[in-house]
Amino acid sequence: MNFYVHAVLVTLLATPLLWVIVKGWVKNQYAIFFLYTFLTIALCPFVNLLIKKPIFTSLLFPAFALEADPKTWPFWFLPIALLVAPATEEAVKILPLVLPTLRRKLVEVGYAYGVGLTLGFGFGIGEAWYLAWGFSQKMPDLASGPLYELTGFLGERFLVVFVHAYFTAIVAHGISQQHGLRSYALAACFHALINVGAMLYQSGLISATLASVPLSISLLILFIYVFQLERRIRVQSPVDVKETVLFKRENHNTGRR
Amino acid sequence: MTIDFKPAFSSLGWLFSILIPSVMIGIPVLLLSLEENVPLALLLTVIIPTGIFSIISLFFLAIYPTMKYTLDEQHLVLRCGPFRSVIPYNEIKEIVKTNLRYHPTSSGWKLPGYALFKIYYADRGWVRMCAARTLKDVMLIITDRQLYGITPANEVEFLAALRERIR
Repeated sequence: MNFYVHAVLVTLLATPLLWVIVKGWVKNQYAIFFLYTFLTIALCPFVNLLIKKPIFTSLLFPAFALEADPKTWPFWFLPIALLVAPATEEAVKILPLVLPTLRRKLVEVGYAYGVGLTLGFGFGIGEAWYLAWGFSQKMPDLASGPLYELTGFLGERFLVVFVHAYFTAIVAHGISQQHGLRSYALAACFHALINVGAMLYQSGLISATLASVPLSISLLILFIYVFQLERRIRVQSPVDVKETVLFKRENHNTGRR
Repeated sequence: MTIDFKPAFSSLGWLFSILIPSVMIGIPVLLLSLEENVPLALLLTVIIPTGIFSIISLFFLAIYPTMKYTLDEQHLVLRCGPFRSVIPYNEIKEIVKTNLRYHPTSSGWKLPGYALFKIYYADRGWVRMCAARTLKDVMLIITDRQLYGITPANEVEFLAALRERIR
């Protein structure tokens, strides 16, 4: 039950915050936020159960004669395993854009970015609920223990919701600028980079504390890139400035030469 | 002659200024009342950041009513508690009333109804705020050096007095 409580908290805390962020990009078309979020919530269980799981269990494990426990995987297999989640998830998150009515809306670059944020956000919320379900099955002790023991889950999921949102925003921006494949590859690379620490931790190569180092560095790189991208988009996007001039000095001497 | 103008009243500003320290104080209290035998390390992890933030937010709550705009002989002075920005009249190029565009990466003290210090806006860049509104209907004072955002309660009187001094 505790994991679900934290999934509820993630949803309640992240939704208004992302709403404020997305509002700036999609202008007055607010309905789109709820529509896209709703569309992508179910995509996380879809990609995990119907795509990633078969890739590992039916393709990779039999092909390389490996077991499901990451601690038993040889080092050379880690990069392969690392690429599965980014490659599949980043593709699945933009699936709603195959609908022509939605794709047509990607003409304006700022709007496309907002749509991407929303798609990724919905996926992130879906992932929080999917993991809450999965962890409740796997870790019943934690699921029924004190609530504060899962604050790590809360913090991580809260952050991941936004990270997913920004990955998909990069892809949607790329699609609107006719370089979707390049942006998809970039988002998948960022995704893989962020997963490096977790992958090394799961395979028993580093401790949980040490795993946070590559995570922090890659998050920093992602956010620097995102801020630069947002600045570029703002230059490209038409801004509706409504202002009233109350005073204007005539022949103002700026003091500059 | 010096004239003081108060900023517009903002119920949201008061609400959030009171809500934030209440939540910061409430979190450790709630933790202690809901759970028995909370580990000391966890307690400190919660109390230290919430305690620091409580003090900061209580300070900003205390200085909120002191916000004012003073027109003296040579300058417009924006004050809030110990903080002040001085704008010489001869540096003012333009004054506009506008809606600012939110940017999540901004710094400064930015709550609904309470904006203080330099804040980054998506459409205008850095604006030094001393205002009881964060985004809507902000009076922007444009100088060569920077932009200032204010929200005087009585805009008509404020503008008339300011125009008189600028000339």
